Amino acid sequence: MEFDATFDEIYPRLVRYCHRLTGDRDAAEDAAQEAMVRLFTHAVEGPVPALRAWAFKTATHLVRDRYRVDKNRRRLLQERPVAPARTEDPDRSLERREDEARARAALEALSPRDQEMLLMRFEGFSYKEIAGAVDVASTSVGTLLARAERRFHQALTGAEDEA
Amino acid sequence: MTGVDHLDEALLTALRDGVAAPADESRGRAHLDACVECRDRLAALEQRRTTVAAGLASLDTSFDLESARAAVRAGAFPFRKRTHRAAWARAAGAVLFLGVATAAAALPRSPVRHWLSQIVHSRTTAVPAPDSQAAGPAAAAETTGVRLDVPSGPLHVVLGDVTAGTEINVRWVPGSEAAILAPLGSRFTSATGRLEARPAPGPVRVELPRGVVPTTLEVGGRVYLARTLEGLTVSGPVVRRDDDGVVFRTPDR
Ligand SMILES: [Zn+2]
Repeated sequence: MEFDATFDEIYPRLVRYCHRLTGDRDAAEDAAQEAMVRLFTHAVEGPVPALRAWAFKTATHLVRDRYRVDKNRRRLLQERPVAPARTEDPDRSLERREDEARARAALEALSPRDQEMLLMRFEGFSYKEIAGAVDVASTSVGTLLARAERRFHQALTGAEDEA
Repeated sequence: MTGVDHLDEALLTALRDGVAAPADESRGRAHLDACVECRDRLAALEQRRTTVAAGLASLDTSFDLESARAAVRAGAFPFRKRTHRAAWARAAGAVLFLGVATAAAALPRSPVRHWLSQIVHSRTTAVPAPDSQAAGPAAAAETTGVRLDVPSGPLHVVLGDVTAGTEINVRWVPGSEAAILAPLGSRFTSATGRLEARPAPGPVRVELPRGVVPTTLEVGGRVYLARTLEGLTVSGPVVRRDDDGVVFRTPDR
């Protein structure tokens, strides 16, 4: 397994996924990097899509176990970040921050499992891969995904989608 | 179309994304050809996909991929010669974190984990390890080690001159490589079937290939564990034990 190529194939989308899932930059990097380290140290074999699925599944479990259980801690970290404050990107307009807050609230209205399924789907994973990562029957994935997407869309837009 | 079941949302979504099973695909297409209502619903789902994708994208931020690459490389290959020093220096905090990540990962409630989480959340090298003193926090966090390919037994792992109260985390690993990972400043030697270390103060990780027998771990002249075809005998001072290994702590003086 060639390190750089594998890293480039998997990590950028993995860290984006973890960040969407946690809303926490440091937690996202920690989970994504640890999943990648495990991918290499466990010498997981297979074609890139299989490695990618393995890394996402591992990161999902890390996020579940470590970064989402204790919401109080996360809130505390966000309110009083220990790390030096990052300088705010000047072109991040107020409007953009409002969009982000709305999307964050819409996502957090979903169950953790529905969040994971929706986000993995929008990273291009197949129903079967999603089933393997979030521990649901692959026959249920389509229904659960459609519902998660509808709920997210409703919360995001306030629209009353049909079922 | 009246008196007919319309396509459900899951099937329409699958058709939209081109992931419906072949039988569902043909049934769905046939229905769509005949049903303007479902065609409208499909069009609404197309729009919904765009909106959802944009909503998710609004959550995104940029990441420093080069730092991450260096950190992952350091975490995955802690024994590799440090030829990428310059690249690592940029990611010092993360490198230090990941240098001990593999050692700490198996110890959810260990002091290392606690110390690690401090480093993680402060993202600074200025957090001292609990026991680090003159060596300074950075040196205490950095690990080094030795790795040995052991296609077949016997394998002897020997730790000498171990500081009292040292935590020794023994992990069963796949493959055929044995390893000792210890704080910077440790000394190592290896020979066929034998790995030896005099670890500097701090946590030590020992990786033993699951499939290699017989394997023995000797610490300060005492056998801590022995694995033979008959099974595993643990005789050292155990702190914790699970399917993936055993954690020892050498006696306080
Ligand atoms: Zn219809």
